[in-house]
Amino acid sequence: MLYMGTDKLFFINNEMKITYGDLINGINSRKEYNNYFRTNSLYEFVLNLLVAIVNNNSIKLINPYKPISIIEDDNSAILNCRGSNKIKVIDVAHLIYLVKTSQSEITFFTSGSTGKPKPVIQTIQKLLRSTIISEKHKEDIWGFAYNPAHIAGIQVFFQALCNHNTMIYLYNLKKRNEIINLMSTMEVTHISATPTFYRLLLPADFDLPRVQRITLGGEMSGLAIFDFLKKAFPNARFRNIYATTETGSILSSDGDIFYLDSSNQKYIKIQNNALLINEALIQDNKDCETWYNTGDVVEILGINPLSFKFVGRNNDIVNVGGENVNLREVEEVILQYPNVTNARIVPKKNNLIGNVLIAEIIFDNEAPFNEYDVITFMNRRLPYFKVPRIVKSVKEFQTTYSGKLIR
Amino acid sequence: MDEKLLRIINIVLRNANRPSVSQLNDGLQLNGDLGLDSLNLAELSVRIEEEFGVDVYDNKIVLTIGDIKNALHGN
Repeated sequence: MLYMGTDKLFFINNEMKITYGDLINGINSRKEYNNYFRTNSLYEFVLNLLVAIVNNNSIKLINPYKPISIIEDDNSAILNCRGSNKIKVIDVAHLIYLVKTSQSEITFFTSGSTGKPKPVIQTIQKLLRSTIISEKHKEDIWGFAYNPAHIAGIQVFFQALCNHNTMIYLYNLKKRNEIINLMSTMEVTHISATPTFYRLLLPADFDLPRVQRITLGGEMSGLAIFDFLKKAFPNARFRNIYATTETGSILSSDGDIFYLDSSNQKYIKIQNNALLINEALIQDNKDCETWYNTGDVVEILGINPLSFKFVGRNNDIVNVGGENVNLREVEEVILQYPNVTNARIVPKKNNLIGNVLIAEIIFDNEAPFNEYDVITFMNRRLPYFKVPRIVKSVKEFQTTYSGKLIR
Repeated sequence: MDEKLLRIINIVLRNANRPSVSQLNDGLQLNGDLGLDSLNLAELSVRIEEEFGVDVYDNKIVLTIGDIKNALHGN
């Protein structure tokens, strides 16, 4: 089957439809690749990436939606990093074989929420560890909803490519109905995305019964998002992934509760409600004594087996008038307000009480907004000191290099 | 300036579920007369800063409407 199949669609991006045959011809027609590549064209991005990979050469993935100056001062160095293409891909099976056996390394850049984004190098072999290749997956159709320069985007890309699947590019789409219609008409079966992406699809006034698998990752997922997803995707199974750029996927769950058991306790532990991972997960060294604080804060729910849920990042906890407030908790409550598609709490330093909480909210379809009504809603559901003092309606949020929200 | 300050004070009073005021006398006490607590006052300071670009509590004791006006005038 894989020796044929060049007519099968590789991906759809807006009006552009690329088959596996187009992809192979595109790779073979390239004389060279740039190993420090940045483009707004998804197809150019993919071609350049694959030419580097099939040639066993390394590549640095740069977020096409952010300025290069964030990570590199000297642009000319970037433009001159080229290598030649010495491979002719024969067919789809050959392409998949070359990817699966590639000795390339990919450099990702972390979110840079506390300074300049840091480079993190991953081998293709390590990235492919979470890829499941089987006959069962050969007809999967992926809704591709991650930034392709992000590690989660690359993992979805490999999963789809290595199973000869079709990808429907959803990442650059902002209109809810456009995304839903495209997933419906293209009969998408698998989606992997951040909770922010799924929130774009609220409310659950539609259902897509063909979707079999929903994966969430990249951010903390509250219980409310699962309630919505179960209604909108009634036949889907759910997987909530905890991953870091340095390690790839570490934990998974079918909801918002995670478990530590004998299989993973050697490398993951909880100390003072902080999630720590062993350096061995990063270095591939089995006997490592060093533990690394992920910065993620958890709440322990039970022991034997140890169960917990994520409640935020350590910098999500701020002091308001002598009381600690978890900004994520406040955001979860605002998300329950009618017509809210996303919300973030920005703490503003204040001489009187330490921090004043300011809520920024994105409303669905620019619904009418009344600050007093939102504050009243919050007052009924949260202790007084946790209620944001100021509420603003915004069109979008500022994001970090890898697309995470900036507070 | 007085009109803008009156509008801001009334937003904070409404959010605190307290009655609005129609005018601002310099001697009006923020806590004693208007019933604003520390969270309300913090909100007030942010709203004033957003409107006038001045943090009225920066190294100053602010107890009355007059104190706010003085801070806004740079006194």
